[in-house]
Amino acid sequence: MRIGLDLTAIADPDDRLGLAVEADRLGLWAVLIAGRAGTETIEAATVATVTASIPLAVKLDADRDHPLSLAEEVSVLDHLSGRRALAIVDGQPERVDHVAGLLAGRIVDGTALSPPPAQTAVPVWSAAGIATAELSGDLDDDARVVDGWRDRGCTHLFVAWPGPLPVLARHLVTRAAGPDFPSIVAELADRIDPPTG
Amino acid sequence: MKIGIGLWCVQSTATAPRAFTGAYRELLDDARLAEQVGIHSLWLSEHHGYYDGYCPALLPAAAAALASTERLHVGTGVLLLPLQRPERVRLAADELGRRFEGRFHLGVGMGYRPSEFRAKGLDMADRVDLMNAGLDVVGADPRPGPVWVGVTSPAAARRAGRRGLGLFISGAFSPEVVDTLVTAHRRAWTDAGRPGGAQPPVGLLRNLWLADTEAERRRALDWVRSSYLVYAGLGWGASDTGVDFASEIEASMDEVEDSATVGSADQVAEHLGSYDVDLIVCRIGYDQPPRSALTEVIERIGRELVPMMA
Repeated sequence: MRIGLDLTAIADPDDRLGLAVEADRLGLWAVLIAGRAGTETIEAATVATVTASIPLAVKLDADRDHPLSLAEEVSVLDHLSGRRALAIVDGQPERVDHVAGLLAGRIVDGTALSPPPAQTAVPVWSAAGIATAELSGDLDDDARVVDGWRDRGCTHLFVAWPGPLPVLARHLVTRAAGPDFPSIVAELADRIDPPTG
Repeated sequence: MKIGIGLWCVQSTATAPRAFTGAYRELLDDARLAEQVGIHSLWLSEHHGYYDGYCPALLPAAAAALASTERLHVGTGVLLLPLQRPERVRLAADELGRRFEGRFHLGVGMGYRPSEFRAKGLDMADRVDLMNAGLDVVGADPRPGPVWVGVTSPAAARRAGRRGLGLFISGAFSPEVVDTLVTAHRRAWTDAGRPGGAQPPVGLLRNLWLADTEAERRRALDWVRSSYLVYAGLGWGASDTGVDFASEIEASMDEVEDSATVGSADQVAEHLGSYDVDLIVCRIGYDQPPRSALTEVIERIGRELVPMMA
């Protein structure tokens, strides 16, 4: 299971940007982009300019905006970010499919998405289907939460994390990666190289 | 007079195919270069559903250009407002205005390709109503930052003036037509009781290049001529615009060439100085020039033209 950072509870835009940069450096799977509803692709484009390789998950509402408009924004974001767009779309299933179809290269309602995205197809996930967890910063408690999601077969989990990101990366991203992480490695790493936050 | 550059459309055309991801990277490189050489602003342009990928989503592109710079202003020249939900545009403009401290300029226009309206479930016949409803939202006080309206008729210029919104004039017009539009805009603003207090600005797009020798001049004019193919293609791509783009292509290219301002920095500055406007957007975003020619003209505009027009 891979762990991404949920930025949606971070109020300050500069804080969000700093966390995205750090998550990118530490190799977290993705960031869930925040910002006022309706401005997510703007924020994602901003984050794209200061990060190198972390996927940018943007929440979109296909009932509120035209699926073609949303697909166009995501496609431009995919180019701006170098293949890092990931769309998390809320709305009626046929409208979500409309967004997904366009981003997969299909002609929908007589229209093709132009430009097509940089990725072969941008992943479009249903907002109802994504897994999120609010972690406490207590590593014993959080380990149980992470284990629970992983053992239920979850592949990608967004977490809200209150502590320093290097702690998340060292203790929980590692633990989530497979069923057999020897946690003593993270504990010894803390002794060799204490986390500074 | 402020000097900007435009129009970044981020296309991959039949005449000059390229990778889109690289084109967006170049947009950000160009923005940084423009800032470095002292250019006021960089302007983006929008179309939808055309084969060449003409940028359909200006707000994320503007956000990335703003985030890549510290002083450069970035504008949409223009965002097709009837094709968007205006509340979403307003949210984005507010966000960009706040985050980038007034460096974002929202330029809006109506659009003219029926297929772009149909693709979003709209009827182009409703475009004036949609535009006015949209202006009510994006132009409402307190404004997110500078708001400009792209116009082609005195009636539209008056609509912008009455609301105290800036005027963004296309590159195709003669100095006389420009004058008519500017006059209509300012009079409407005055007659409406000077909304906003300060006279709303006027921006003018000009097909332009800096060239010192006759050979350079000819080469630049050929680039400007060939840009007509992009415009004509947009027309062919929407056969029901009512405009016959194909039959008189040479004559139309002659017209585009005549409208262009190509010459030394002195000559260009003298011509631009004859317009009573606040901002000139030098249209240098053609698909033909090699990259080295584009970056050279950006540098020359910043280092030579900008100081002359200050």
